[in-house]
Amino acid sequence: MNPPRDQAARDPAAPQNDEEATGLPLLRSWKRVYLFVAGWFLIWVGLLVALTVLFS
Amino acid sequence: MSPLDFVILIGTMAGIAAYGIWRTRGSRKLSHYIKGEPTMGWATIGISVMATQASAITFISTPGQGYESGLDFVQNYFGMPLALIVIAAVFLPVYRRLDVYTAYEFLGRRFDAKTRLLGAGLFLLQRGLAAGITIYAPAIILSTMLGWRLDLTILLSGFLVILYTVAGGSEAVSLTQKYQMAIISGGMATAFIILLAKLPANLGDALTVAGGFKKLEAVSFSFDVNRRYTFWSGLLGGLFLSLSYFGTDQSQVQRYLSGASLRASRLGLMFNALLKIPMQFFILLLGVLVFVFYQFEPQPVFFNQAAWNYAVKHDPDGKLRSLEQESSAIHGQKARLIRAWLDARHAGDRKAEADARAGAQAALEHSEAVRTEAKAAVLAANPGTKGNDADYVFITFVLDHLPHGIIGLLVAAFFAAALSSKAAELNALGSTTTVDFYRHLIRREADDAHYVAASKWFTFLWGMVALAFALFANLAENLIQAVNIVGSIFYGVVLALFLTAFFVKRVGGTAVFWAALASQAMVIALYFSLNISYLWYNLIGCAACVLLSLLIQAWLGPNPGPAAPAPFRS
Repeated sequence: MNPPRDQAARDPAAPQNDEEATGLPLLRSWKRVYLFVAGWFLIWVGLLVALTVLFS
Repeated sequence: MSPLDFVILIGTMAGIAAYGIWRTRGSRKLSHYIKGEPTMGWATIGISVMATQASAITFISTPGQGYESGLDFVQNYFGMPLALIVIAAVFLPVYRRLDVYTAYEFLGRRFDAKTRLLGAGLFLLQRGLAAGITIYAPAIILSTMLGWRLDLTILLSGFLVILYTVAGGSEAVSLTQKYQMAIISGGMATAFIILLAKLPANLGDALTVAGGFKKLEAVSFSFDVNRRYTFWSGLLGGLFLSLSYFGTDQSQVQRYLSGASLRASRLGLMFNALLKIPMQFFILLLGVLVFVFYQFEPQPVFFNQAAWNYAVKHDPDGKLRSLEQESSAIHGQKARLIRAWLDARHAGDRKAEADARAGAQAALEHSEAVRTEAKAAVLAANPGTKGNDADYVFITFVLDHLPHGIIGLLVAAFFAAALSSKAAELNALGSTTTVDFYRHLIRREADDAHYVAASKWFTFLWGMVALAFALFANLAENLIQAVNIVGSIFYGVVLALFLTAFFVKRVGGTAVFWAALASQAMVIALYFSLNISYLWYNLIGCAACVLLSLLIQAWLGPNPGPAAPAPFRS
């Protein structure tokens, strides 16, 4: 649950609870979503490195 | 272009704009006008964020960059997925919890009024300066290639985007972006498929040729700071650039704040984190394959045909014609050597393959030397022309080699990209002027209808500024480069304001305000004294501002805490 608006305004950069559901199968927490995105990025970097090496 | 092409171009552009106006008619609430429909889903937000970032230049010039330099530009986007994760995890929950209209309102809540105005002012300065470019840059290329009048191209596309952005606000922008992005994706995918079908070699052979000519060097781990695109500059410089752009630039913040929920906004950002690198890769690969295509098919010596024809008319010695003949002769020789290279490769004859490849490489270098000479001659005949014709490569391919109907679809895609990014910019400029300046400083107590009307007027005025700039930009061509540099110079400091707000609790408004001014002056001084890739200024400006704000805060004494909200109304 979010803090009341006046409290939020006094400490606007305070950490936010992160429990809102992602609604995604398998990726049920936001941490998993972020790890999936980071993993996808690494896969693409790997593929691009492979392309560079294979056709150089 | 044929009548069919014009029907497709005008039908799609006018139809999408009319639909946006019709769907958003009668909106009187400020929250709807600035944030859009409160039920907007993650797909619409994701597409809107993507369409805002991808301007017409992305789809016209990036293939040309692939043609000239290969895939290495893709590294520029390596920092983006990580930046979007940080924004989704840290920035977004705070923006949504505070229910702000603009990112700069958050600075007012966390620091003070002067820091909010500094952030908003820096945004208006850089985005306002850049406002004309998103109209001018594609208009100059399209009008040159299609033989249209530049001023009419600018005015027609400019007034269309002003019309639906002023009428429907943020909701119209997001709605139209969805359909514009469909036109763009359809057009680019069609061009890609037709190009693959037209290639005289299969895809494997095409990649062999591209790789042999060093067009597939996508990743470089070099530490050379003078090299423009490396893994490191893309990851670090790109991370800071993306954090600034997506996290603090109102033209983007406004897009994802329009979500129905925190979940929708986050998923919209993750959609972009997943798709941006693949998208840029395929656009660059399209350019690389156009390069391969032109190794077999005759290519112009200079792709800006209007400038070429002008130079030929003013070339009494016939030097350009003789360069054209020389280029044609080399082309035939080069195509034969490339075929011999591929045949030897298929036959498994390594020596013949190496010989033919070396011969093809030498022919390519000769061909490039002739092109360089031709560029210099065109430039000498017409000093107003850009010597680099890479921006004209893809549009030349489209006009010369795609069927009618598809040409109209591609030109519609270029205009759709121009309008979609322009609309988000105007919407953000109008919103920031209304919320951070007009409502905050001039008219504090008024109803929503008044602020919606004010926002419409400010959006219209920014549209006029953009049109005026676009119309006169041809008088000062180097303004385009200057505006891009201005963006890089300011982004780092603006990002530092936000990073300090989120992560450095001990620093207050006065310290960060003066640190931002001092860092900005330092970055400007460094720009005039160093010769490094512009991406690094994002990092330098950001680091300097955070460090200086800590030092100034230590000198001022402990920060009394975050500003109370009462004096800083949103």
